[in-house]
Amino acid sequence: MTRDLLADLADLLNRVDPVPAPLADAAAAALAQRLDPAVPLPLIADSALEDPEGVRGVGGARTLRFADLDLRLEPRGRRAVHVVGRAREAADAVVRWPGGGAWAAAERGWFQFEGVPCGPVAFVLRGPGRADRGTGWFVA
Amino acid sequence: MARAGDAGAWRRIVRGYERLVWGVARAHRLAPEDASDVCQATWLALAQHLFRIREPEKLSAWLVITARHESVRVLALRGRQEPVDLWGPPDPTPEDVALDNDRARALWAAYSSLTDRCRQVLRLVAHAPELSYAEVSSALGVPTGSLGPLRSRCLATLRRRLVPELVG
Repeated sequence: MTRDLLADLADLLNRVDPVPAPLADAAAAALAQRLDPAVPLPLIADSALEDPEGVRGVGGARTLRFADLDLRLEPRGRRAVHVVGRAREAADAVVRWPGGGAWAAAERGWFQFEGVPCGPVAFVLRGPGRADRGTGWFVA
Repeated sequence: MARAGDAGAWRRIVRGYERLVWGVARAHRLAPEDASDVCQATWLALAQHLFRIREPEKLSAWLVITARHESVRVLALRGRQEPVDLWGPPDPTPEDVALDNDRARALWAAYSSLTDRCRQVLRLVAHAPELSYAEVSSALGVPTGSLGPLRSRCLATLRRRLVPELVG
């Protein structure tokens, strides 16, 4: 009986709140968006979790600290962010999002990207003589 | 096979789990646009880390936990959306169309009347009955020892509220 009730509920949820078709297409395309293998940069701190009051609403900046990389994401309207980054070792930076990306040369470790679309993003650091280092995908 | 880049195998994985991943994001009451971002990030993360998942039976748990972590972050950034009020708008909505019989309307009314926590639990166990208590606990951030009683209480409340809806 419980199984029937839960099955009915699953069916109902699928009808009332279905997966949007564009999302299903985007999920199917995710395999082709795989980044080149990179040494993972573990996430150490995210102001979204540590200081929620400071990042709520329009205009609040979010900071993320990864091993070897700091990021500051500042909203630009509702669907884009300005990114300022600092790599602790000299490196160029790449930002990727579904279907696009950008590259920036770092100056003394600093770099920035304007107009990065809100949504999933990932960052990669590239430097001479070192393997690429990359963040995981996260929602900007 | 998906690990080796087989697009067909990947699509089968997506089809098998897309409702679960969407359900996790929506169970956190994220707006559809934010829930879509969370889901897309989850699928991108899976594509990137597919080679690390050695046991296919752990895939649903991995997806649920990844989607939950990202949902919590987006929730902190952008806030919640209130649940759909099916009885509010006068014009037919997609929800009205989906609730095509008394049983469906009664079940939705009973489910909608539950607490946030109960809706999260039931949505997850309805979409992924294969998950262990430990995995559901981890996905929802509740102590493992609390999950069994919580699940039972939520189901009992749902049944209790469903009966009057059907009778009345």
